[in-house]
Amino acid sequence: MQIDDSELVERSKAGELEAFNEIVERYRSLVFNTAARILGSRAAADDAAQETFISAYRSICRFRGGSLRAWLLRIAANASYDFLRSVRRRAEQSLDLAMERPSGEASPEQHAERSELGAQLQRAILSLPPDQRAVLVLVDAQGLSYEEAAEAVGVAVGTIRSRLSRARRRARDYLREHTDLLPARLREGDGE
Amino acid sequence: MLGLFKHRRVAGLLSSYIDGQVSRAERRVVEDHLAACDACSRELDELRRTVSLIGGLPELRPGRSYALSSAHQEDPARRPAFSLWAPGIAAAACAVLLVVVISGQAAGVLVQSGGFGEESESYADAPAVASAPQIMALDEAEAVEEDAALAGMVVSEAASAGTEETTEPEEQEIMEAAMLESEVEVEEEAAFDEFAEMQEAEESELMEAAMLESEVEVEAVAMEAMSLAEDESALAPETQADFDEVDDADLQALSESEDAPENLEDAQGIADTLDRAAVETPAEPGSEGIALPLWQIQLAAGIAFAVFAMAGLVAGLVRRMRR
Repeated sequence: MQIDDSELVERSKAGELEAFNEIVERYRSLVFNTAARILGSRAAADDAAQETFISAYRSICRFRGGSLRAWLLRIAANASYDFLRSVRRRAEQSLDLAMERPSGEASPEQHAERSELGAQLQRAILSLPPDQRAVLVLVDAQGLSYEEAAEAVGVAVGTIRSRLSRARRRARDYLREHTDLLPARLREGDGE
Repeated sequence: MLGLFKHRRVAGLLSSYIDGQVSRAERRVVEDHLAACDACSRELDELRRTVSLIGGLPELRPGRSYALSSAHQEDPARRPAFSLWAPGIAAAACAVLLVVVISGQAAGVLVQSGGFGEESESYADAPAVASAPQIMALDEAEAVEEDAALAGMVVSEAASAGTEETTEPEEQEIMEAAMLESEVEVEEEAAFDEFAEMQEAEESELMEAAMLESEVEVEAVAMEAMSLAEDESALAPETQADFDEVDDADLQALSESEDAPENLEDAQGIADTLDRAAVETPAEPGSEGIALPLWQIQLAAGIAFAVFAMAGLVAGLVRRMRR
């Protein structure tokens, strides 16, 4: 039987490292993927994720309940912002994710198509301002509700709504202007 | 016109409509409009596809485990440098503030009671202590102090924001204006200590300058200040010879000021103004005049330090909150 998050939090507060590492294990993929999509870089996302869990451990005593996922993602988003501020990498230099090989059974052509699509989507995400980028990643890539995203970003739900609307339109504009993937996909989608 | 307004309103609602995050009334407005507007229908399709594509991005595999070791277990006790620094700087600033206020009161008492031994008699006869030029000079000194305090705040903010930001041009400009440019890359506490030294040096210098009673002595200080300001090697033997008549305390104050040569320019300005006042203005007895401007300077310095301390504290808190 899986131990409840809240119990793990309480045990972590008491200084039990194993309990906190169980939290790390549960959320490492979510935290890493969020940072990776915001930063567009695996290496940077690894650093941001590690920093996220170190910060979370240091401040676990200040976690007062609520969504542990949103709390961790808030720290992850801040760690990612810190990275963006400190390194100031340009989007073009941090696109190693564009080369990501998706897992699963697929033909080489499908692999190539997915890789290219993934690269274009990552570029579309990186074309957004950081605040819109985080909301788009949290809601559309990680599947958070508006309420959870609001908690993770630290803004009102109405702000998430308007920010997400701008982010989606901007990402759509990028895909429409810089790629022919979207129209092709749209035609494909129309046929569905 | 109304159609355009409705079109824009619906376009703004499409994203929330996709997620079902609209009210019933909004939903009806959107669906009625979509039935009649091809552009909005196309936009809705594109947005839906964009959302779907982003949602279909493959899940990436983390490169490490991120599990914390027992080395991290000690970390909660060891606070980051900045968290320590902010309350520390605030405490140090408060301590200096206390010293400044107390020394200011002591100086006021001494001045008003004719203290400082043999200086006091001639000081009581000193001309133009309450004259306008001197007040202007002291006001200038006050302004310099405020600049220095501003620079101190910049040091505090820059330090809390990270060392890379200390090289921002506008910050450097302020720093230079306030004579602290050499401290940009210095550790925060060192910067603060030096800043405090400058403040103290300036305080004692002002007091000494204000208590000089004779034109000769004032001029000697001015000459010394000029020579020091022009040449940092300072205190050439011949200058020291000219300086013999100056009180030992003045020498000490000036040699302390060597660390911050620009302060000497202030001293020079004050001394010049004192000199000018002595020449232009007839003797005007009464010593309460000097007590008031000094008190104002002490107060300004106190306020500056308080602001500095608050800035450091707030920066530290903000940083901690963001963690």
